[in-house]
Amino acid sequence: MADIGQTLIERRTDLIQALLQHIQISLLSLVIAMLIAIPLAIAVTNHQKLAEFFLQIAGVLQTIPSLALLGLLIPIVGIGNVPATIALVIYAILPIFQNTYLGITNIEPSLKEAAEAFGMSRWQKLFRVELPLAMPEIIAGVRNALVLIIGTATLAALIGAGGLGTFILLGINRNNTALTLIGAISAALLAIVFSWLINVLQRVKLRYSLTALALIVVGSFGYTGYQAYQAAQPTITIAGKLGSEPDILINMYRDLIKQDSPRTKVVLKSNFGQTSFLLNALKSDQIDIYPEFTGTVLEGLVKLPTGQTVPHSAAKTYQLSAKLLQQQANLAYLKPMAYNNTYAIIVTKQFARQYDLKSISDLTKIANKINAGFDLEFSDRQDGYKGLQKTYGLTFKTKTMDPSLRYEAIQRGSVNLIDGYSTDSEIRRYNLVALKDDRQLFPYYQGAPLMRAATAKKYPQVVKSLNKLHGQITDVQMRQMNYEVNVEKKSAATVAKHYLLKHHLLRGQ
Amino acid sequence: MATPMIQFEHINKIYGETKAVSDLSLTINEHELFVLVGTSGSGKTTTLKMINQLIKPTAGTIYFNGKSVTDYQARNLRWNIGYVLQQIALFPNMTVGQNIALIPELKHWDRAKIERTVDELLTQVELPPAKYRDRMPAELSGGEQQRVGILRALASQPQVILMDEPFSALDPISRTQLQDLLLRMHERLKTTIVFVTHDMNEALKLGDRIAVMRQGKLLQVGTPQEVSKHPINEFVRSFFATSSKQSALFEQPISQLAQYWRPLVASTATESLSSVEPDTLLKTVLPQLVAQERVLIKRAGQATAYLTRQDVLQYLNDQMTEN
Repeated sequence: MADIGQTLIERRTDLIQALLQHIQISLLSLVIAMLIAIPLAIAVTNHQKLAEFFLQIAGVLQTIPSLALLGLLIPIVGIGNVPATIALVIYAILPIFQNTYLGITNIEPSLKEAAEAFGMSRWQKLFRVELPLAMPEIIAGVRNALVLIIGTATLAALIGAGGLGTFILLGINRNNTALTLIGAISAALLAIVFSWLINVLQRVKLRYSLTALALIVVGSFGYTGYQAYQAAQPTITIAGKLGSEPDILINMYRDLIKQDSPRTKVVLKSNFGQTSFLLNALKSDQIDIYPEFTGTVLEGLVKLPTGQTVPHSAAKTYQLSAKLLQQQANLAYLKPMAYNNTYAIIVTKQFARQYDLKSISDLTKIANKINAGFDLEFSDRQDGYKGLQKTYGLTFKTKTMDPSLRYEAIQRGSVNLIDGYSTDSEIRRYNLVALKDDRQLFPYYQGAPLMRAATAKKYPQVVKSLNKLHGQITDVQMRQMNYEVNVEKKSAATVAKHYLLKHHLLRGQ
Repeated sequence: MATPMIQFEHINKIYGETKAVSDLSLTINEHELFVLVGTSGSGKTTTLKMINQLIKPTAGTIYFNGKSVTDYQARNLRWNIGYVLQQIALFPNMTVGQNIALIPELKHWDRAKIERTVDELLTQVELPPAKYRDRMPAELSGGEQQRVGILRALASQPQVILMDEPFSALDPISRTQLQDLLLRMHERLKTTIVFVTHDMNEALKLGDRIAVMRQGKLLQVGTPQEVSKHPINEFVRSFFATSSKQSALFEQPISQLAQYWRPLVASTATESLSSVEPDTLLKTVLPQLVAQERVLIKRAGQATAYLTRQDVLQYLNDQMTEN
């Protein structure tokens, strides 16, 4: 619990930002859903068959799992606020439509007859009788929809729309329960507060509720407009994949850019998503820069020319990546850092000392003593266990396990060799050692900033600033920084700044 | 000569296989309180609702003020025809005052006139405006609610008011009060009223003329006297006998019993006897006859005749056998 308090204090500005994003996207979705569902329900009150048809459709839409819906929307509208809002609107339509329709159709028939007999027009009946009488039901529907939206909006973080979900995702990713709890509790509290607020609005006159609603709409759009205005200033948006390492890197990017171009606004979007999200976002101008690995580029972001194989040198891997990115996607790939975050064969320090192990070749002499734990992916890859067999002639007892369990397994001694990544903080944490890949089996994964060629041309100073990281940061240093963020719970910004200051890349205050 | 206000000409209303109303022709005159009476399924409510076009006839023409109702704009027609429902149907989201003001507001009367009208009307039905105007319908008793229901129909001074079994859901005391209230208001305003009921007592009490319906057909139209004295067929006769005859008798003023009156002579003992007027209802005389042998009848303050228990019994017996 003390942990939560501590995290809360450290992250309060992030939390406020996330809350605002969450409220904005939730209310915007709610208002759009209301603008669609309420008029539609009113329009079909006299057409029972049509109404039932719409109810069916809305019901079916709501059964689509939210994750799947977001996934389906990405190819159509990309990532960010737009698909998130669309998804939330789709979920919110059913409760609002259903309650409005039932609220109006369930009005006492004698009251409808009276309204008819008094010569009211369709509109007069609607505004003087039907809507006021159905209002409690409609409001209940809106409330259900809002609670649903606030809950589901946590998933928006998955596709880069931010909100409280970023806390939850980050918490899961870093195995930091305090962060997850803060995100989850805030979302729950937000739902309770808004539910209460709607209750209050329900009791005041219709006119005031409508005024409040109008204010919210104007406010929401105003905020969005303000953001758009802000975005119109020279702004560089830097995003990073899930995890501590990209988070540290983009903080370094920001510090370096701000040092040289203090007027440029830099926006960070950490834990933005998986590779494909980021590449799409970069191509569609939603972000400007993100750190990418050379190996990942060759693995799937570009098409290798026929006959071309993955080179067995760090420099050649980078050169080929940069060339193909420029040719195929018109992207600029800046100079890479030193560390190579590739696959690693990892043993305990004690085990290494006992058998005098330094490189993977050294394993051949003790192959019969090895009991390995690999994740499914590694054991099946040509440059994984299959490559170990082919290139090093190594065959040993293996079992496959979930990636998250490997370090625990070697820690407990149930295996004595695992696969991992060379900058994993666990190597430092559990006193392990990564053996040298002396026959260059594993591809090179060096990190470097990726941006659009046009951006690089427009901001030459930014390119210069970022290239200061060229050749910096070794495997051990990266591992240490990951350790500080993941295990010592320091913020990525602090760790990044500390490194830059220590290595004189950033001038001290 | 009475002016026709509403005329039905060969009206038929068919739902699928069922004839709800068949070949109905009927004239309702201006200033009349006209009662449509019949058992359930007689088509009386359908007939009523065809006047303000809530239900459209399958064939035939209904004239309102000499012009076919289909030639009116629906809202103009309805603004000229007040409507009172059995379910009362006051709008629960509006106050008493707002309910009454509804149609004047739709007609865009000016605010001051509407407010004046609402207060005047409330005063007329003994619901003090200061106390009742701003209350919600749910806070009122059934009888009070239906008073407001009648005011709502009256407020814009329509030429005709349609009332669909307006008192049948009320308790007997409220029902009697509201019937009396309706008679007083009709006396004063002379608005044409078409009133539907299944209760023959109510029809006899309220109607200037009544029309008896059965299975969509009009059986007989006439004054309460005509219909009760000369029922056109066995059904109408039995309708009286079962639903109303006995109690209707007690609703008669004792002037109806004039032939049974005994002239007062000098030798008649009159001391300690109570006296009544000729228009006193029989039902109020009965309790007095329980307490004493005879009751005096005064005309212009002068006792001129008397009735004994024997006379009243004789009258009741004669009426029974006559029918």
